[in-house]
Amino acid sequence: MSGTVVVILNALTLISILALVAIGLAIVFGMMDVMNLAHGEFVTIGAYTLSFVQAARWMLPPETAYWVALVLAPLIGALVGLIIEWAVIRRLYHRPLDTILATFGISLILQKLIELSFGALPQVVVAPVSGMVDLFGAHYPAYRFLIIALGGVVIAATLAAFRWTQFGVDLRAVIQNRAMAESLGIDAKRLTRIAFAGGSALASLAGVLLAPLASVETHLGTFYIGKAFFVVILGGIGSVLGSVAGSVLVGGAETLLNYELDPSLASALVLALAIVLVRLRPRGIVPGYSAAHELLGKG
Amino acid sequence: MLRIANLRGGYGAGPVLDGVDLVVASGEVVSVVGRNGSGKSTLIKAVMGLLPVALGTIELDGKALLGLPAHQIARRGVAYVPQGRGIFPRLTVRQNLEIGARAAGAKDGIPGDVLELFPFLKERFGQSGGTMSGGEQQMLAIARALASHPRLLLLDEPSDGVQPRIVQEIGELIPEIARAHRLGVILVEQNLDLAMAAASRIVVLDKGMIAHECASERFRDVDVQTRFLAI
Repeated sequence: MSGTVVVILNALTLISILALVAIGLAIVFGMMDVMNLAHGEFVTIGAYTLSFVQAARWMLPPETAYWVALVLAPLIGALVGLIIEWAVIRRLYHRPLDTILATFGISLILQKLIELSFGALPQVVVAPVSGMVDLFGAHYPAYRFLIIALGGVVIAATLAAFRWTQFGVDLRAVIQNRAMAESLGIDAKRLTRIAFAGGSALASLAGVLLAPLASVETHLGTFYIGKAFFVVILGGIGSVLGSVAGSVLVGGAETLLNYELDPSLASALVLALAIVLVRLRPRGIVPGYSAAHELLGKG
Repeated sequence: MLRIANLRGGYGAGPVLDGVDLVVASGEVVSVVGRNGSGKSTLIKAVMGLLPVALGTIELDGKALLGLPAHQIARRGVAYVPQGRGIFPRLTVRQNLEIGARAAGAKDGIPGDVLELFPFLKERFGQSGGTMSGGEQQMLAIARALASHPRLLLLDEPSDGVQPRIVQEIGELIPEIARAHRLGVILVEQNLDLAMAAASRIVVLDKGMIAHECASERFRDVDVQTRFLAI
């Protein structure tokens, strides 16, 4: 019993992180068919924000500094996202292959910039809460509960905003038919920029959440970017709900297999499962409707 | 109201429009006809600001539209119903209409007069746009365009994929709306019956230039039709 609960909670932790990273990727991919290979670096930026704020202290104990970083990291992520969108991405609309090359370059530049600033050694970060909590007979770290709760709230809020707010409806309109949305007075360029910054902010938030569980190094993000692309393609391009569904599948399967098998074998099996699922449902679990993607003949 | 002068442009390689002059008064419906590839759709895309390359003059009430991005042209009172209707398939009927109503900056939701024109839309508010029939989508697209109370309405092939009864309805509706709202309309149409029924004036486009222009009644003459449209 307690073993089952632990596996479920482990899966939920991974799912929360994956979904936060994948949502931004799914929206940007769906809106303009841009594969942002630098998306993982926003996770790294989040994690380094935490280590920086905790090291700087500002007369705060590291546990309190964590909460400062949790607010600060998405802001920094959004700002860096805005700069990258303005400086590079917006010049490469309708040129998806060039975007892959350019964002790969940005990814390397960001990694090296972080390494130059902070050094190559892993950074020290501290979780804001310690100790264990008992739930249904399982003994489970309190911090992981915090990840699940915070991740769940932010993901639910993002889903709600996408579905019900004017901003979300406009965003979906741009994903479904960009030229028509513009012809109805929607400033698609502005929305794309905001969505890009928002997705970057979510990835940076994920970076703070996962940092205390991971080794905070400059290539931290690369570990998540591959999985996040899996999640997006499996879940459905241009669909926030799809990203969540994809995260549940990838995160759930990986955690379950990890429990019984060697982690490398588990990852390989998840990849095999993803390939089979994409073969069966080529448009994803929750097929998004992305005009940008279909115009390029990849619907 | 709308003045187009010496409009040239296209999609990059080679011009599609080669010096078009056209004036549309408020309350007037002008049909643009012509063979495939004559530049009809390109002309209204240029007015909407969706053409990559465009030179010349496009003015609405004396203010230049050419060069502005599409969303600003929309906010200045130009509404567009594209070929294929351009309904957002995964948004509801209500959301489609609300986006239309917001185009001109209106904050008080979907205008009642638009729903009076198409009462069936009200019963379908919660339905996804993509699940409606071609004719229903056409009505929705027209309603969405009118929801911003535009000054100029651009219609591209509204008869495309729509059953004859609805085509006839659209033909009656367009001049009625134009008159009631002092709305200028450019109707691009292959269906000559609809083009003549809806408009007071017909413009024939050929190779990106205006080849002929006459009152709708005069265009009923088969000789005129053969001269300008036969291949």
